[in-house]
Amino acid sequence: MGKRICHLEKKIIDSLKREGLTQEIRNHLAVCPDCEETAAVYLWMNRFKDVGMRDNISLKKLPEAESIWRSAHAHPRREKELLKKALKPIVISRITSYVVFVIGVIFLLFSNFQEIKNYAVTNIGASKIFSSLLKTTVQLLPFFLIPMAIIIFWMLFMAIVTAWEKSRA
Amino acid sequence: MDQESKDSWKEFFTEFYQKYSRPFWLYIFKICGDENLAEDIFQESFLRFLKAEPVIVSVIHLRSYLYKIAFRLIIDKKRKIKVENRVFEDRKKALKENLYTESRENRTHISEEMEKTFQLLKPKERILLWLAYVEGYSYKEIGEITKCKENSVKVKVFNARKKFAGLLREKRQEKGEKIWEKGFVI
Repeated sequence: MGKRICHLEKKIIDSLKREGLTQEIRNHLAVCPDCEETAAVYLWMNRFKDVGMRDNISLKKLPEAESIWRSAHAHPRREKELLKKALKPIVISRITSYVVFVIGVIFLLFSNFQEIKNYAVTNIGASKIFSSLLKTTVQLLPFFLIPMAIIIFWMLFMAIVTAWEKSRA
Repeated sequence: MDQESKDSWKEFFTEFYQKYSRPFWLYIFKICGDENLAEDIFQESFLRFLKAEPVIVSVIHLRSYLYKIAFRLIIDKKRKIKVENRVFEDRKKALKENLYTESRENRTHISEEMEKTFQLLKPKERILLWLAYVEGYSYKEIGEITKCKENSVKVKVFNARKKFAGLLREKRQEKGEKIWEKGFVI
């Protein structure tokens, strides 16, 4: 990076803290611009702090330790309630979307069957195909419904778990 | 936590708070440059500190833990509400236009002058300089507080210091004074 950090930097700061610069340090400061900057910034910063401490603004009334303690231990319940309240619309909309999804799937399934059925009535060839398809579907339906039900129940379970975890957080 | 350990933790916290809350407040206030924001961060830092119930390894460790919380809060607030562009910039602008009146009557002229200069740095630079030169943290400790590698902290502090020294130089030159005299009369 090409940054030159002088090996005496720490020593200089320690000396400044003690307010006692040795001759060796003074000599070094005269020849090292980086350390001179370090010392200047160090002194400026500490003067800034001291001025701030002396100023009335630093004598601003801070809250008592007791009140901080109380609010830290009173907050969790309030936060939980607030979180629950805030998440309520999301949870409701999520559950509603699952219900709509399930109803929608059932509706689409049956409405499509109705269309196929109507087509089959007007066409003899298709009627035979339809009846065989229907038989197969009826036989296959449990195999289709079981995994679907599992998926739906899993989604519902996950939604409940997520809502519960959020309310706990 | 049983009642006995809760009581001793409370006792320890009260003592810790009485000793370190004032310098901690000053740190946040000087970094933020805004009293309301500083108040929020101050309270939130202590609340998070208490909620985390940190293991008492040493007071030094707990202090750096508190500074770590405050660092994240300052940076997060800055990101979330774009403090850099709103609060900090507004404040910079207000200071420039001499409109800043918050507790002004209680401040000395020198303090205002110094604040104006300090606010010219970016918040992260202010934090690094404060931690390094006022709080006296080592590069390693600053790395832990700011979640940076030690070498990266060294470079960042170096850059911030260079920049700030340049600003101080400019200020001095504006006033027609020497950059700084031997013996560091700044």
